[in-house]
Amino acid sequence: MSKRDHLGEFEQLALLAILRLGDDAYGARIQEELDVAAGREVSVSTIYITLTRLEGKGLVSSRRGEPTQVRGGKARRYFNVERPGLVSLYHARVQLVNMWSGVEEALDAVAHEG
Amino acid sequence: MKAEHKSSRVATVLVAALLPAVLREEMLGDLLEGYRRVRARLGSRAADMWYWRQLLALRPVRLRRALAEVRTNDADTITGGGTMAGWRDMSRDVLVDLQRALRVASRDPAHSVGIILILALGVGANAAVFGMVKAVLLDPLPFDEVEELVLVWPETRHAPADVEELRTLPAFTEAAGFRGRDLTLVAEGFPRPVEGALVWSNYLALLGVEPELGRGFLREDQEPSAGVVILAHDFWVTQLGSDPQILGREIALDGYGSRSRTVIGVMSSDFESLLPNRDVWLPAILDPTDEDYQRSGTYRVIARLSDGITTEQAGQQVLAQARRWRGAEPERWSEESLREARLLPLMDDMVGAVRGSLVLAFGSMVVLLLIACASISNLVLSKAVTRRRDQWIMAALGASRARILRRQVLETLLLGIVGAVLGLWIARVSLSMIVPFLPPDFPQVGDLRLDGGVVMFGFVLSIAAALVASLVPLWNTGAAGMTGRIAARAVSDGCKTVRVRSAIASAQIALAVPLSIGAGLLLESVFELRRVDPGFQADGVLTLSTTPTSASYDEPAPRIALVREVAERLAALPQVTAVGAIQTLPMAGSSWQTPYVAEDHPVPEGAPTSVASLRIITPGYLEAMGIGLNSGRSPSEVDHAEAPSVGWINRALAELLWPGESAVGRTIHLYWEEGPEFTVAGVVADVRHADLRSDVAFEIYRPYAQWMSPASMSWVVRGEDDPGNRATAAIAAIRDVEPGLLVTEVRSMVDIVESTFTRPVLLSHMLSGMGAVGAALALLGVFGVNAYNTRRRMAEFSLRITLGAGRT
Repeated sequence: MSKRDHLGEFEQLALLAILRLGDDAYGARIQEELDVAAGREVSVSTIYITLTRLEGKGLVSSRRGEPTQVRGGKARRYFNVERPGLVSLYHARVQLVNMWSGVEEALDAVAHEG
Repeated sequence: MKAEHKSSRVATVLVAALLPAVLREEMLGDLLEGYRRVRARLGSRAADMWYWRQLLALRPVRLRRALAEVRTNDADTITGGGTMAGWRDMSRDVLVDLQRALRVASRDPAHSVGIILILALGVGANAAVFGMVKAVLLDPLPFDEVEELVLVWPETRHAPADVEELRTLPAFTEAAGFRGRDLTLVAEGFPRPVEGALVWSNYLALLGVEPELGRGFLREDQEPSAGVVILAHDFWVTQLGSDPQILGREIALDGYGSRSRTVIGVMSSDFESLLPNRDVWLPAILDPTDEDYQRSGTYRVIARLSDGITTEQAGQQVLAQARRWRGAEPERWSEESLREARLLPLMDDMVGAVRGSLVLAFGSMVVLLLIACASISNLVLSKAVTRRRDQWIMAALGASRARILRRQVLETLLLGIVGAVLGLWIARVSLSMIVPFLPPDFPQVGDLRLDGGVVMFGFVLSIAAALVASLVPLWNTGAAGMTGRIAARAVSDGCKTVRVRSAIASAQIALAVPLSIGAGLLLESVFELRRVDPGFQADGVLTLSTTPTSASYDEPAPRIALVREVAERLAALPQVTAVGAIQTLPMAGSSWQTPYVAEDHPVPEGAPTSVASLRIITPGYLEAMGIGLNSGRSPSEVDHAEAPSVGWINRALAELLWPGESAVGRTIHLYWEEGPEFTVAGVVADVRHADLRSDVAFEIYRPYAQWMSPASMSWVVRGEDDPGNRATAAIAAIRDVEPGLLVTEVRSMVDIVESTFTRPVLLSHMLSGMGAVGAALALLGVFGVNAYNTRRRMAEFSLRITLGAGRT
């Protein structure tokens, strides 16, 4: 994996949110998912900046949906994780799991304190 | 977000303006959804906060960069507009520059905050005064074609017959009489005071206004039998509960003509009468059989000039009419009064008294603004070296001159806008603090607020000041050469900059000194005024006015008995040391004037009769008011209705009539030589009746029981405790004597005297405030120059110290 494909922490979270939401992955839902599941309160703008950048790298794709009445007649932009995105996520996970192995006991103590 | 919340609506407009078109719809939709989600969970306030946080975290530049990357890689994925690429680039540059300006401003907060504070002070003070100048001098009075409206013979009051004759002059399309009249609303419980106006039936039409509800007056409403009234909007709301069926309803108003009056109209809330704070308007009664119709001069006259007639031409017609009157009734119209037969444009009458003060305040504001600009220039110059270095580097890297200039302008604009917002806030707070202290007759006092014009003025002023103050000095000190190459020589501050900064600091001092001196002189004049002896002792005096509302007091005898009883009751109150009454308190209203002819002072044929101010007093008034007695005796109960007629004169009149001799025992006739006479029983100290600035008038005091016995009297209750503590007991005592007595204007004499200071004190406070701010800004400028020069020569000083020079 080249350096260019390395995923930042927030990029990973954004891709995971899209995967968790499936066909319902658009700005407001991604924002909510990040808030509820990851405890990360981020702005709509940050999500779009990140996902647009990932789209530039070919890791995600997006399409504009139909306008809906619920949103005051505004359309949604749905995001989908492309294969390179999945590959990057996979590598990131492997990297992390590898790094985690052997240190979990040390952190267990903190978990018990907390 | 349109229907959701006002603040979010503003945010939506901002978001829409900043977002790239290609993602605008989606992101706005997401924001709306998010807003609703937060609102459902945490409420509207939290949702608004959330929305504003989203706005602050927008980072449109980064979003555009990310988009540019997508388009470069794969043009089909997210398609932008593309047709306005040039415009997009430019707006991106502007955004980048704006972000940089924010960074620059936050990198040196002391510098930015300094400029913003100076701007805010300068703009705030200017906007507050501009708000006042605009409301009073620039905004037209709320009448139709106000420049055609004139007051006729403004110093003289006219009888109804005079007004009718003035109406026939061809110079006027319309003329109408008007005057104030205190009335009483007779309703459930105690009677309530009502400030009324008596007007001609064409008065409202002449001003070009109509009632909001109902109709205006008709000519037949001026007949003695007619009983109609038009209400002020506030009076209708507060006293009559905004009764929607008010038209045709009867209300009982005592004090003028018919008691029962039918409401025929309600004025709109923004109607400004020529007489401030009126509750009701009644048609003036025109009854040629009444003696007052011909002789009782109590009305002011307003007129509208005919087309093509100038004020001067109309004035000539009025003078000609006055001469006809003098020819017919020489004893009523003196040659002296004819000199006042002229016209005064309404605008001059309403704003004339304060015009000078406002122009002075505005002039001081301009000086203050110049000082502020100079301070900003100095601050900007202190950073000129670093700034110039940046600019040369930018130019070397290929930035255009326009781009460099734009960067500078944006930085300045940013500070200017923040300064304006803060300044307008200061102006708003200052105005809200000033308004309660303005006298009620201050023209258009209700209009003193920050309207669109003032806000615009504040912004333009702030931005212009910021631009001028920060760009001009840079231009002068060589920043104009930024298009060239990086200078080979070291970038340092030139002698020219130092000279410019010193000159600016000197100019600041030169501007601040006269401002401070002016403020000091004005303060001094106020202190001087406070040292003037009014002729009475206001401390410890409670005052209140009473008017009987029952018809049983129409004759003098019951009124005299009533006044005596009220005086006894008030005197019996604990802590009270003296009680008296007068028909008009000093500094609380106009004086009654009376012609007089004194013993040994016959009036030559054709000469005008002398005039003095007439005061009707009860026994105890001089003691209660603390007015000294120079000779003779004080008024007392012996001066009853059947006793020999006596009176008192003040020292000024005694000196005029009998200099160096005793006035006691002399005789004075009122009105004319054979008029009712009285013997001078004493000479009292001079009292400044109008205010502390006016000259002492000639005064004649007559006992209440012997002369006129007016229905309305102002009581003076002197005591040893605080006057405020006595008010409730005093009102209760008066109502105990006669529940139908209308009690009004309960206040301490000290308050009355203080109210005459309002205008000079306000102006002196405003000017001292400005003087202080100006001096502070000027000092800041001098400090800045010195600190800067010291820093600049630090290397030289270090070298000198190293070489053995002492610190001194």
